[in-house]
Amino acid sequence: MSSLAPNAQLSRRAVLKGAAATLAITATPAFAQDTYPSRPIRIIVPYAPGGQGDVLARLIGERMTSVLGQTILVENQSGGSGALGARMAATAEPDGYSLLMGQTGEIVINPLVMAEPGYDPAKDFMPLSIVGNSALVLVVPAASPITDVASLVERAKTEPDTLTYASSGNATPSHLAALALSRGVGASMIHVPYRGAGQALTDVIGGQVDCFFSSAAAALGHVRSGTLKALAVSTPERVAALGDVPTVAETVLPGFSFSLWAGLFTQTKTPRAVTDRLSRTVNEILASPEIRQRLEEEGAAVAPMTPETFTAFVADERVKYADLVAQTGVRAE
Amino acid sequence: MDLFANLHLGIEAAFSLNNLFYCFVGVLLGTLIGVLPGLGPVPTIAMLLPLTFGLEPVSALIMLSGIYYGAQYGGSTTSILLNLPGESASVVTVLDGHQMARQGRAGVALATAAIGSFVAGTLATILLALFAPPLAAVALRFGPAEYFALMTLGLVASVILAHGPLVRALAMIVLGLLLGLVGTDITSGVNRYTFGLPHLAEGINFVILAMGIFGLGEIIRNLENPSERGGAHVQPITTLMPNREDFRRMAAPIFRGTVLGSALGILPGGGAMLSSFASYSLEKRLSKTPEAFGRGVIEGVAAPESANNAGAQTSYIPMLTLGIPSNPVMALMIGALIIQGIQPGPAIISEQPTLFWGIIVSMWIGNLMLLVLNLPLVGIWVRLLTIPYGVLFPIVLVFSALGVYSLSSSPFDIAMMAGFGVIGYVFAKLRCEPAPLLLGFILGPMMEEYFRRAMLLSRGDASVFLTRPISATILAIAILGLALAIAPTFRSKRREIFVEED
Repeated sequence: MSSLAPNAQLSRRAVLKGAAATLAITATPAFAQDTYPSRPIRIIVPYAPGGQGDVLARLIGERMTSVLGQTILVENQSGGSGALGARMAATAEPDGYSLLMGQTGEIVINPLVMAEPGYDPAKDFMPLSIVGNSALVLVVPAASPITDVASLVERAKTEPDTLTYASSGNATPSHLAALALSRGVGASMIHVPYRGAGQALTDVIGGQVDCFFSSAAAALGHVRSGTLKALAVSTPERVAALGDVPTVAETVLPGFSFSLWAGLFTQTKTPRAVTDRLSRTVNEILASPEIRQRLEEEGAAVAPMTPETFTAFVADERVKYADLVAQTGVRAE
Repeated sequence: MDLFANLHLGIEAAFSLNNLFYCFVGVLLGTLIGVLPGLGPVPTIAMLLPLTFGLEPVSALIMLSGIYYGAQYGGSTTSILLNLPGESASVVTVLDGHQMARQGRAGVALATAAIGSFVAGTLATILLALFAPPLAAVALRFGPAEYFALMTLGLVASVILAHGPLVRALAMIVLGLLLGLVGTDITSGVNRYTFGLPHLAEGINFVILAMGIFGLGEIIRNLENPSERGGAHVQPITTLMPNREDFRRMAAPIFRGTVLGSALGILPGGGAMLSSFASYSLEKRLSKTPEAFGRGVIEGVAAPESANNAGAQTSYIPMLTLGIPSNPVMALMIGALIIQGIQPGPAIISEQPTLFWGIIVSMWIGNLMLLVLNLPLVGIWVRLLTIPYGVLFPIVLVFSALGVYSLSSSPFDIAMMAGFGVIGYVFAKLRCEPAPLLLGFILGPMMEEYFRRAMLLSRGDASVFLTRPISATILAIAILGLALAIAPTFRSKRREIFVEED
């Protein structure tokens, strides 16, 4: 037995040496830039699965998988009105493998209304491409006596603090848009916050609240079937899917422009080659007929933008919301 | 609107070989997920969403639905065998289910849960088929005031459900309410008790609390007292299947549970989780031997299991007909539909009849498959209990940690679970039941949210709770129930006083 031992030890040593040599040879640094993407890319969605941003991320992500040849993984990280997921994306490696599906809330509004969001979208994120831009639709219950936005505004002015509006949460676009409307026309309505758009929609349909700035996608089905009436849309131009619904801007408040947008963001230090490739890919996908039609049906279609244009767009949004928050003092906490 | 023509459409869709296969895959996966403590249907469905892109909408929904109610079936297995409620719906099953397991009746408990769930699922599916749109309309009449009244009824149900001294139960409920306060208040946006930790901004997750207090607490206690580990590990399993007497006893509770669960499941505001508590409390109130509840009575398993399965099925009504999710799983299903280009809403029954009726018929098939799957498996699950505890508890620990980690990939959550485990152990030593705490935890924040919203909408007029008919009725039932629950305490106190005077 003992005579075997030295031989066994020797061969074990030889094996270990061989293994170390193999590891040394194969442990070359990965030149990721030249062969981007060389591994799966994750899109962080800072909300629970099933929401608007999540659906868009999965839709676009599926196409990206086939175009780029690498799997796109959607990672949901909800919490803090999108702040948790945004924070995760902000601190990830700037190598183009951790993208953020950012929406109005976490990119523009959070830093304005939160004391400590834990990230700075202007510094941490580079806008790549806008993916969807959808109007908010001002809806009222089907049985409501209010038939157009002008009479809603009239009632709000003559009877202050009697009309109620729902929102999908404090300091969400649905809240801020309604706030901007009432302030702009010199009226005052009572804000009723809900935990998400689903609950808010339920209570509008049920007639518990008087009105709600709902996302176009969620409202379309109900407007078509008559459970809700659409009074106006929040974008400067009319929405194709709701052709005969006027805009707020053309009826009661010129210059009114609010929308729910979502886009892909990456970390600021990501290499130029990677960001160019990503934004080109996404814009191609957006321009493809099937995706374009899908988004148009939901009222979320948007013309593709270059990173520079998108950056300017986000900056404009920031100014608009900053003014509103400064005037109204809305805080998230 | 010919019912038979619609059912025929649904049967054609659901009985296709493809869809039968997807249904089977769904329920199998769902059962496996449900059995693993901590891992729930939400992360599973989220992970499988991309797979559904290539499928037909009907097939996708059939598979995802299979996972959902399969997880309900599987969740009751862990509740009964390991005293671990994986989700809020299973909290009540542990009360009597695990006690039955300790008495060597684990097989009977599991079979009862499976049979009750199947009957409830069948009846609820029929309800869905016949009354989906009118039921949705009824659900819409529930505003914040009504939901508040409902939650109050739920709290009263928790009092009834509690075992032992009333004061202790009340204390646990209040403690649960307090724990539920942690997080961001939806009405004002203020962060409460988050200690600046962003992670707590959404509040403490129910799974962490349940796993910690029930699961870890129980494990620590069992490790401390090997002899007190309970009959399930010591006594041989007497029978696997319920006998005639058991069947007779479970019939009425199953029926009552189904009715209650179906009614509460329709409400988009989250009535479904109330269904198991409410039906348990109802059975306890109606029983001739209420003190036996909590010690392993079959009614205490049959009723809540039927109620929560019925609730799970009827929660499809607001999802399909209104496009409104009543829980996170429904939100995922809506997401899956939207990805396929279908917007759930009032028009779905007329625009997508194959989808709607296919899902309904497939629900029944899924329930049947689950019954066929689970009854024979009872024998295998019960064998789990014969694993030496020294091997069983690390496995349970690892899976619980995995389940908690799967929530948001945060080690902090696992540390919190450990903390609650210690607290759970302390409660066990003090002989305070954790179930009322969990109920207070769930109901408290919801009650507050609905109360404040109702007050906002009524412009500060508190009489709204009494002037709205549905709300007033429910509150009256709640007050009556509370009075009936507390009265015996006074009666016995008076008896005590008289005894002392003698």
